[in-house]
Amino acid sequence: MSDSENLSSIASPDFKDGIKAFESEMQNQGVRVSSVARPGGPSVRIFLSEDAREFLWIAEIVRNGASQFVMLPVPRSSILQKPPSPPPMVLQKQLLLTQSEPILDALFYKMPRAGEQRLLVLEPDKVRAFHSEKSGWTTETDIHLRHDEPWPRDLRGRLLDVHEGLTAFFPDAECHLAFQNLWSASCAPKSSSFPVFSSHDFVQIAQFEPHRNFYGSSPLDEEVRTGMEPAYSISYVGIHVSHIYAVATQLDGRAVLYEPPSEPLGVFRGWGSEIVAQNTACGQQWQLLVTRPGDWSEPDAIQAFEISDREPVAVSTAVDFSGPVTALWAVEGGGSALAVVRNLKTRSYEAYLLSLSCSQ
Amino acid sequence: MKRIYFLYPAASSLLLCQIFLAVQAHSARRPRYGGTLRVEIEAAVSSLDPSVPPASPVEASAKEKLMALVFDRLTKVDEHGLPQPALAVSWDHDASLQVWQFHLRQNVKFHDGATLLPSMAAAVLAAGSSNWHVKFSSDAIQIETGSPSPELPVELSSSRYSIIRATANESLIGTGAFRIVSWDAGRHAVFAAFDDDWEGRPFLDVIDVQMNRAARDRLIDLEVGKADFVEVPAEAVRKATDRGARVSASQPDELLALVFLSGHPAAEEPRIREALARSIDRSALVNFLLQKQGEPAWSLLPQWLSGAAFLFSSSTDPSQAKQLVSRLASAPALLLGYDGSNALEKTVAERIVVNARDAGIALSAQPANASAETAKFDARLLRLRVTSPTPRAALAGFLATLVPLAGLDAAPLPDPASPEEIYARERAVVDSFRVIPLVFLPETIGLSSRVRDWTAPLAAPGGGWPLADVWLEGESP
Repeated sequence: MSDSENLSSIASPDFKDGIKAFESEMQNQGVRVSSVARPGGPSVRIFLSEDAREFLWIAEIVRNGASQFVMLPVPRSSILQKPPSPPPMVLQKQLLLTQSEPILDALFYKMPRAGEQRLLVLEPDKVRAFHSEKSGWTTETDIHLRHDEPWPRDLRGRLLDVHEGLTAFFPDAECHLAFQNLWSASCAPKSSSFPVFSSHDFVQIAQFEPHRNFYGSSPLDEEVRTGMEPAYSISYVGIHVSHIYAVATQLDGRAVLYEPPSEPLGVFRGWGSEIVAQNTACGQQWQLLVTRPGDWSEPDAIQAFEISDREPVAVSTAVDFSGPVTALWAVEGGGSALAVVRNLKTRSYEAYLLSLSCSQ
Repeated sequence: MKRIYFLYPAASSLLLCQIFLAVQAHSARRPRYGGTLRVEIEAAVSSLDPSVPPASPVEASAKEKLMALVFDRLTKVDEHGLPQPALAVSWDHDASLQVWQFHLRQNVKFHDGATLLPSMAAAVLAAGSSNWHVKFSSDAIQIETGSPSPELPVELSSSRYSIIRATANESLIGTGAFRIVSWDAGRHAVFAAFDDDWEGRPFLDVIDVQMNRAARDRLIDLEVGKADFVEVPAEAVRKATDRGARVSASQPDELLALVFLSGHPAAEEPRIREALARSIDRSALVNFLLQKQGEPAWSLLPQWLSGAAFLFSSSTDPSQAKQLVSRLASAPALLLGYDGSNALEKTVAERIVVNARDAGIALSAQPANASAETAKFDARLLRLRVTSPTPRAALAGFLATLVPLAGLDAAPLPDPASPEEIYARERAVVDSFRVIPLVFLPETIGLSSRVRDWTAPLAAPGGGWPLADVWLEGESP
């Protein structure tokens, strides 16, 4: 039971969710609560208020008749968001394939000459090629990748079809794949770096912390210099067609909106570590797909947001998954995304195609 | 308006600030590197050397868990009981299942930087079993077992086949995710992340283990934030959660049973054994003594393991127990022994004494700490831990202890054994009333709010705590 009052504009269900989270955290901190007063014992009342810019948590601690107040401002983005009803966009997922081996990335690839499409799935030690049959995707061949050193425990990888050709990017190695009657791959070590953004003509690389799972500093591109904190994911969002922003999910759980090169414009809380930008014909034309906070022992969800006046606004309902999202990448063209999920019950890896469309 | 009352005077503005911030600053989802996990355990582990026998089942269990942090085996077992690659990437065998080839993973490093060679692993395996003939080649190990061994890959996942090297100063090193930094036998151990672990460096920097900590002290340390990961006795879980602790429970993987000791005249009277079995109120043991942390046991294997435990379901029948006793010319007085250092066994023994006396059985209970004392007891409380997720291996593990202790049928279980054969053997043991299953217990761990990505492991040979995948909230990489 909680003693609380909502003095803000936030909806009652969202406020109650926030109070539940507060009570749960009190228990985690070893505070035992009761509805029965103990003589001489302290009590607390919790309020959620707001001003023009932000919300305000206020706790009144009453002890021996005297009150003490604790106040904490809260950016509006940190309060759980429900999109307007009905939501302006629909986020849909489509299961591509399930397998027991880890999936780092996947790519639809048009075979040279024949023009047939293959689904290429990047795993830590190989690229697996699938061809399409009526029953679904069927394994055609494995292209083994050689890497002598141990991989990091949380390995990240990207498979991109760029102007140099089909390339598997790992933090400390690159493998170039080619097809001439048969598939072949050649891998070479490199200094620790990883793609941030790619199109068919261009791959932007960022420095990656060696043997770790995060970008160590800002992208190496000359236009974007130092200032960004280490981050798990970095996405570029064109909020206005002529203006590009960057959003980075930092190691402390905050997401930061930057004006390039590295001017922080806003801080968002309540997001997970994976984000990817989408370019659609809906709303502001640029949206961010965002995972939920938590850890990998819990199911995850992905929701679409737009940035309005430097604040995130939910524009779709959340799509739930059966486990944590371990990778979230834009599919070339920017109109869809790939999500890799580790199913908590089966322990299998599932690859989903996500698409965002305008509501009718 | 309702009020929240703090039952501890520690409510402070600083604490509330922490709570607000913690609610808002949810962790990102990807694991974070860094930090020290502070662990507290009951057992005093004297050595991680597998050749040094542990002094008790409690020490044996803890030793396995700590060994799994430091040492790898050729294989490991998944949640289905199937062998998976570890230091061996693949294996094959001849038609007789007596000659096996294990192909070793390349470029695996020991904690001192030396590369694991087949010759090193072969030497360890040869020393582990006198029946085997072990050879090696440039990238593989061949084991000739001398008899068909269909489960050899599973067997090799056991901690007795840990690949260990002794350095020049006689310290032990392995290839596992953590290396030993300091070892104060029975008291304190510190393990540090091994950067060149073949599975990838673990997220934690350090695991600091305090041993030989009493349950009460472990719970207090968890509550005041001095520990992150502590063993919580099943009977203390309810109180711990009431006080705000976060507790993780495994599938029930330990059987507490009453075992009649072979050769004791009182134990050879079948009607006394059956009367005692029917008098014990297992539901009361679970509901009141264990505060519902556990399940009544009527079989040797829990339902999740065998799928057939429900066939054994029965109920307490004190009236039939009294009838059985009344048919005896003279009912013998029985003495039940229990581990005097274990609070749960003491309360369970006392409860059984009450149930027995209600049925007319003269039963008393005493702690049985010294091995020399065991001769005076007619029965003992015994804890049997599941060491494999496969029913045959788990039952075989139980029988290895129970057969000599209770004088059971020593015929080995068929290998492989069908579900009917496993059920029949369980039924035979239970129906003899020489072993009376009482309760199934889970392993319960208290976790601080910093601990992330902890998943209770399934029982498996050589199985340890998966701490290499755990990370800590709020740590800097």
